[in-house]
Amino acid sequence: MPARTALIVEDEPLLREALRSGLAKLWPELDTSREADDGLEAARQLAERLPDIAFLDIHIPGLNGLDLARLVSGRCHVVFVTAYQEHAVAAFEQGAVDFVVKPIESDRLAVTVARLRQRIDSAPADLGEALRLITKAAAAQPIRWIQASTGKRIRIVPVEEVLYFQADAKYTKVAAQRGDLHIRRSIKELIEGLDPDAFWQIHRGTIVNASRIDSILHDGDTMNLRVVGRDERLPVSQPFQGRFRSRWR
Amino acid sequence: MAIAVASGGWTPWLGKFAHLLATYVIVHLALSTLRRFGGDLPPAFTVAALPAFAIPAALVTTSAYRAANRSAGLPNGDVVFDIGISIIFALSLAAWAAMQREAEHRRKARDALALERETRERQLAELRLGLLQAQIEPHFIYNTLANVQQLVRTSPVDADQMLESLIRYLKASIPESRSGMSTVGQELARAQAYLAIMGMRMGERLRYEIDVTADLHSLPIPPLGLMTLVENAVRHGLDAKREGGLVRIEGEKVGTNLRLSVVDDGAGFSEEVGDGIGLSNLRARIATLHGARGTLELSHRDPAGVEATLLLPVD
Repeated sequence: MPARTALIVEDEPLLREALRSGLAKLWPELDTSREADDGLEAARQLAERLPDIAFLDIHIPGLNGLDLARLVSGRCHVVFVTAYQEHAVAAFEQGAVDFVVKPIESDRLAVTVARLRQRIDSAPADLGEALRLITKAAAAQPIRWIQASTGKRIRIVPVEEVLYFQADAKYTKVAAQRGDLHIRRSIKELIEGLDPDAFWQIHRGTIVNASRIDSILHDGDTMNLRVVGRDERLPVSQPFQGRFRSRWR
Repeated sequence: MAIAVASGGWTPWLGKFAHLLATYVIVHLALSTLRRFGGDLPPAFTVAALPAFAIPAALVTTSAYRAANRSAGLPNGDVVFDIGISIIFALSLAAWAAMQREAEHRRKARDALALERETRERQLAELRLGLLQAQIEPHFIYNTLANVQQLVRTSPVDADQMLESLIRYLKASIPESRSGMSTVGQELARAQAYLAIMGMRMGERLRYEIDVTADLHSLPIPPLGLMTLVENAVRHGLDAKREGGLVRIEGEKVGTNLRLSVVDDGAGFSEEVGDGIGLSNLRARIATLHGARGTLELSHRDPAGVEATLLLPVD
């Protein structure tokens, strides 16, 4: 039987070496000569020739480890290599994916190697569901700031300073205390990333900062809302009126 | 009233009572109108407006009262007395309402002040907490230790050097004073230790230069003021770019201001939204410490990279 091969994807050279020497002790017959220091190089190598096992660092330049895993899911065995991050580790465990945490402890690596030896002859697992879990855990942090360029200047606006977001042709207008910005991110994408307690959708194309609501103007079926320091009236469409009716009546 | 008139007929006393009641109703209506539509008017304005509606109201009700008396065939008393008592009644009623309003206004102002102070205190507490959390990132420590571990096996001299940098970094991360302020010197020491460590970890991909003269070292800056910018430059600028690049720290005194810049030629700012708290934390801390006199500006560099500039007043 030809020697088993592994590809090590890790951007820090010393950590690549550490993993390689750890593996050499535990599994001398494994060929660990292939390596990549960024995501694009790794993708190129994976496309060229699949290894039996891919050790993937999550945070690397170019494509990240999760993107790479998606590429090879079900076609080669994957072990994630990650720096300690509580929420990610929980997701790995839940998704039953093999992973090691840096700095790599040899006892822990021995467990991984034993597992790999056991399942190396069976078909690699499909990682679809596990990857969904991990991606969700990684994206669980709500958006904290908005960034946009005005000429050469980069403005960084903490979300607390945003009054409202409004769809505006191809862009989304970000109305903020110190002047408005435009970003490409859509209202739909924003509502998924913003803290739902702090930001309320009031219209298909409008999200408002709940703490900046000044008043609600209610007239029959139409409802408008004003934010602090602004004159414009933001319409609250029928499906989103419930929250205001129950709260203030 | 109507019952009294129907049963006893119009009497002089009933007339006087009706007179004052009508005055009361008009003043009350005027007051509630003012309250409704002039909600934001200052109390002083309300006080000035009082005679303006109290006197006409008294005049109108007095003439109505005297007309009623005449039509009932009753004698009218002294006109000055009738008008006078009505005006005094209307004014004291209005003055009482104004006093109520003034007290309410004061209470609201006091509540607003208390709320503002509480908000500010909470913000400061949150900032301190955020600062503590941001002081030392476990990620960085674990990854650095992983490097040291490997170096111990292969190149003990380098391992020693990296450990020394890590020790310097940790020492500089622990605030020297309780004042909540740090100095340019301490922040530079920390940034330098960080860059030395990252330089060993990233190899040729990270180069750095520091151009800050020693006379600036004693100037006060917020803790992590420099570190946040350097870390951003390395993590989002250089580490995101395959070939890496150069980070430059510059400092100078411009008039009565200290200007500190961190310039990189990395991947630039590509994200539109983010979950990091470093920059907005730093900006909030500057605003709390210096108000509008301290600024943090970020701009694109040609042909690539980001320039972050801190401008802080030196007193």
